[in-house]
Amino acid sequence: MQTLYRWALACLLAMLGQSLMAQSLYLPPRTIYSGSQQTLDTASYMITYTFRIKLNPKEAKVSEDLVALQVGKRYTRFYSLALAQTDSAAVAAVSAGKRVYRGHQGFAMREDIYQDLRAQTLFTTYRTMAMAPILYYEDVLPSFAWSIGTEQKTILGYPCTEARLNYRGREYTAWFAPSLPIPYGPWTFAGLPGLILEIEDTKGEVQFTAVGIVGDRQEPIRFWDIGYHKSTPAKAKMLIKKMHKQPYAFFRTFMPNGMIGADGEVLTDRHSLAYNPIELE
Amino acid sequence: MKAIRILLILLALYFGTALGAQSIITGQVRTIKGASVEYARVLALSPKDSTILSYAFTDARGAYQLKVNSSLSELILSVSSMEIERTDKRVRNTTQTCHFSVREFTTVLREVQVKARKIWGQKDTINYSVGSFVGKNDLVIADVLKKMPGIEVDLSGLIRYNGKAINKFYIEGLDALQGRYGIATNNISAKDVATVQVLENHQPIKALENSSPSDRAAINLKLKPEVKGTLSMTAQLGLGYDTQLRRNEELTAMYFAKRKQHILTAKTNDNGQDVSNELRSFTASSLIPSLAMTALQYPNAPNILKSRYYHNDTYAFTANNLFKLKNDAELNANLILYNDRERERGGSSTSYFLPGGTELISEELSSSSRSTQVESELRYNINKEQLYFNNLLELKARWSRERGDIVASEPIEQTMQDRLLQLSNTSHWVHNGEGGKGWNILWRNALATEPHRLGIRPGLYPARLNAGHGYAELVQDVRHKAYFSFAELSMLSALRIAGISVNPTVFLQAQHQDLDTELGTTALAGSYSPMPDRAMHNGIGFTRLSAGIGQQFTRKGDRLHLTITLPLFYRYTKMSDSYRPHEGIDEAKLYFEPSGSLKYNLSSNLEVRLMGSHNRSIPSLPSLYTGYIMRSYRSLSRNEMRQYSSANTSAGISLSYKDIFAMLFFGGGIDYKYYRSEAIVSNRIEAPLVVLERLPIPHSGHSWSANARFSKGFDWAGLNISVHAAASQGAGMSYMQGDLLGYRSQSLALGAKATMKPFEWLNAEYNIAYNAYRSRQEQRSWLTPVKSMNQQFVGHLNLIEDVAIRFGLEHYYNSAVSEGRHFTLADLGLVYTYKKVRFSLDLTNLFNTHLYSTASISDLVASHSYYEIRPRAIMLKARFKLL
Repeated sequence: MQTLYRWALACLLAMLGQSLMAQSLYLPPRTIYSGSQQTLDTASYMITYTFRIKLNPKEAKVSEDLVALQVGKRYTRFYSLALAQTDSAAVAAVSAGKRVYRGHQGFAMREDIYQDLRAQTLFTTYRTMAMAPILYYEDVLPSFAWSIGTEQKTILGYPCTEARLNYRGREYTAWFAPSLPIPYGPWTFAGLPGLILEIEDTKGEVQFTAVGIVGDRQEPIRFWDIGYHKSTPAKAKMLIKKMHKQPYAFFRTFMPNGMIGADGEVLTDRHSLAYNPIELE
Repeated sequence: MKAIRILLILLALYFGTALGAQSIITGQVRTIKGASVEYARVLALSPKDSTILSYAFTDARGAYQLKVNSSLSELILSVSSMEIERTDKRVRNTTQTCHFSVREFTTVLREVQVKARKIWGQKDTINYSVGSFVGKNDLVIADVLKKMPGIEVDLSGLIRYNGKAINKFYIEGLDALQGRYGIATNNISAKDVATVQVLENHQPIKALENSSPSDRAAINLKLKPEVKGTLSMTAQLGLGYDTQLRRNEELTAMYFAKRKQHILTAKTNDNGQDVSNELRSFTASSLIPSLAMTALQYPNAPNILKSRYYHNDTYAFTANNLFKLKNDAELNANLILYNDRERERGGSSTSYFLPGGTELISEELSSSSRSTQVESELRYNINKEQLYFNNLLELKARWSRERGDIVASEPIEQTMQDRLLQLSNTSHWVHNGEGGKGWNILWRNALATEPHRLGIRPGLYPARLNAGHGYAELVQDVRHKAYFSFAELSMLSALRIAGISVNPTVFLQAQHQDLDTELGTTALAGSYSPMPDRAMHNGIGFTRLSAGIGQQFTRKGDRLHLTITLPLFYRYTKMSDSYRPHEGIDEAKLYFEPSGSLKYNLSSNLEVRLMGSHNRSIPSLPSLYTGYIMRSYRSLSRNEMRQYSSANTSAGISLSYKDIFAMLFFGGGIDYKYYRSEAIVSNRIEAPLVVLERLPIPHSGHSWSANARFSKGFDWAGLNISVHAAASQGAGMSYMQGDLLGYRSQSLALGAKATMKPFEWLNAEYNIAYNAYRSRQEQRSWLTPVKSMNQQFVGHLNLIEDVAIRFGLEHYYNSAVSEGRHFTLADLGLVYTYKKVRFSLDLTNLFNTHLYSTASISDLVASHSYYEIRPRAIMLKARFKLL
């Protein structure tokens, strides 16, 4: 009897300890649960990628999301499909008069990136933690100094050529399909003479791999018409860094009287979140 | 190496000017009609090996500029986009202007569809895409549910999620079937369902979501849009032969809309298909226990699929209707009609290891029964966050006639007539106000009467029952009436301290039962007379009142769910017997029965649960009657009219893990139970008669059990594997021929199941289960363990479009059976779809096996039994949509 109690207790303690140590705190991105969307364009193509990222480079754990690139005549949009699904479910539930949880369950890419090809600008919305605002910032379209290699491989049945890039603190290897003369790819990557079907940084921390390509489905490219927290790329970068390094202080900036329970834990000064952005510089 | 090569190319590009002159090529791309082409890609390629030397995209005016650093004398310029035809030009490698005139053309994209995720989830909801799990040969949704990782469907049709039975089954969010979800799972076409949703931690009463967290899951079927709002009718015609002509006919009609749902089924068959599965509610709890005190002696049913041994002639009709009213209330009206004639044949020989030697009882049994059942229910339900109101009115009537022949030391004929009428009503009202404060009222009432009569010919045990005189028939007459009422009032979150809400409860339960039994004889001359001995009759009036107050403490956080219940009961029992005016019970006692459970989410995937409870039970009427009752032809039983109580304590810990992206589910737990009772049932064998008496002998026992289960789905070949293991050990006491004997037992159960689809044309399912059991009496050595194993394999072959072949093989093994340890059954089927008609030809029990044998050995009893199963049969069925 005694042994069993001891055994059960030891098991329980081991599990508790492990969960607290191994599991870095992750604050789920907030969902959009009300508001309307405006249609910017119609997508001629939609490419689906898996997005894998090591949020904490010291850990083996890889977080994964399914993301999509919509390519229209004037606009492109790059966004998380999981988050979009949560948003539409939340909006439907709220309009039906139900209460909803204001965060997305699990990992999702926080950025929603639009390229305006005519104005040569880029605008991004960034989901901070639940309850806190969504950031909005504009930038010019970046330029990329690609070097095209000679290695070949096939992705989704398309022959691809290797290209290399050094961009904002990371070295990348990309694979583009010359038979698809579409100069775009995941994230903000663009400018290769073919659609980028895979791109990975050399440290193995960030990876996008195409898993689906569909043609014209007359799918609209939509943009949420909601109250954003307007910012600039530099300021947003600082805020995002602060949100990860000092989530409590960040939260207090927006909700001076608030406290937050994330994963059942009350956020305090001691906490920080794993921070490993795609653009390091 | 690669890096060096790239570096060289880079250098070559960079120092291009040094090696050869940089040429700048500009130009415009226009269509033949003259419109400028935007975003066209212009490549400068090496004519030798088509390597890309430079590239550019055209601007809004169709203009481009290429800078080429190469020593080559010639270049190929190539213009393309998704909207124009690729156009190539061979040019000299010099600075120049080169315009293109291109033809418009739409490139046909070779699309790659993203494989839909088989399972995805949101908070507390898991979605299984039916399309990812459905096989070509799956007809109804039950066939698909079985393949979904984390979901189990057992032989009776009960659905478990992560090891626990579900608490609700919805279709499009509506509960039309009231727990009889077999009607849905066995009749809704797999093709009509888009998604199966598992709603975890589902509290069906919205107003109790915060105060009474639930650890059970519910299932919701989301139908395909084209199914909603249209009436569908399906018919099945079946004709077969075994030793005579057989039939299997079905007609179902369904209509699912936003504000109403109708499901009608009519079925009849005599080929072993058990329709009663669809009529059983898996979630209802009856307030009134079974009132039957006697039964026919039947052979032990084998533990295999019921259709193998069920000799039936069944007619069943069900109508389930749900209407959503204007105020979002739901109105349910359901009706069930059921008529069945069943035939059984089997036998057993049972050895009792008694202190004075071994007693053997052997019998060969054949029986037939016919029963008719009518059930109807009417429900009105409002389920809102602030208000819940539910009223359920049920009426049930059943009448049956049974007859059996026994070949033992002498031929015996047993007959039984039974009638049951039961009316019950449940009202449940929850009000949830400001800050979660509110009240919860539950009031249940039930009324039942079940007169029944057992007759045994010839008159048995004359020495014991009829002063040694021979007689024609022994008649046990039972009139049993019961009234139960239960009322509960609880306050929700009356108090909230440190996140813990306190729900005080007051409850009141009343029951009254009348039990009149009479044992009589029919003399050889034909006249009936009750037995003169008063000990053979009962004339009981039994009343029990329970009143209690309880405190329920709950804490519901994101990670921690805690529930502690501390009820204090006052139980009053009054019992009198007109045959024993000097005996009786008039007693009241106080009982404290604490219980608690704690659930902690270690992460979003892993949860741990601890639970414990202590309760005291006092005997109910079936353990208190003092006059003898002939319960079957060889069981005579009585009790002492005294309130013996027994105490039960249990504790357990369990762990459950799920990772829906990996389609991985596992869990396990350990349970401990201890009981202590003031009375024991004494068995006295006067072969073939077993006399059972409850005697005031205190005894105790305990048991340990541990279980683990694992289930994983793979994208590869649709593979789904599940494994389970359980072990238990127990110790207790039994009282046989006047001796109190201690015993110990151990059991082990292991099982695994795999379903897969290695090729488009092959679907396979394999099941294996192994059981071992052994026991021993105190101070003796362990008896030889009984080991049993069974395996089932089912495969579907689809070699030609529209034709499928089904083959099944089952093997059973039991080490304790002396003859026929191995038992094998094989089936073969052919399915052919012609236009919209699905024809199936089934050959069952190919080896024409007749008897199923099983055996068990426990501390005091060894038994060997056999049962006649259905012979080889052929059945042709045609299934088609009428609408």
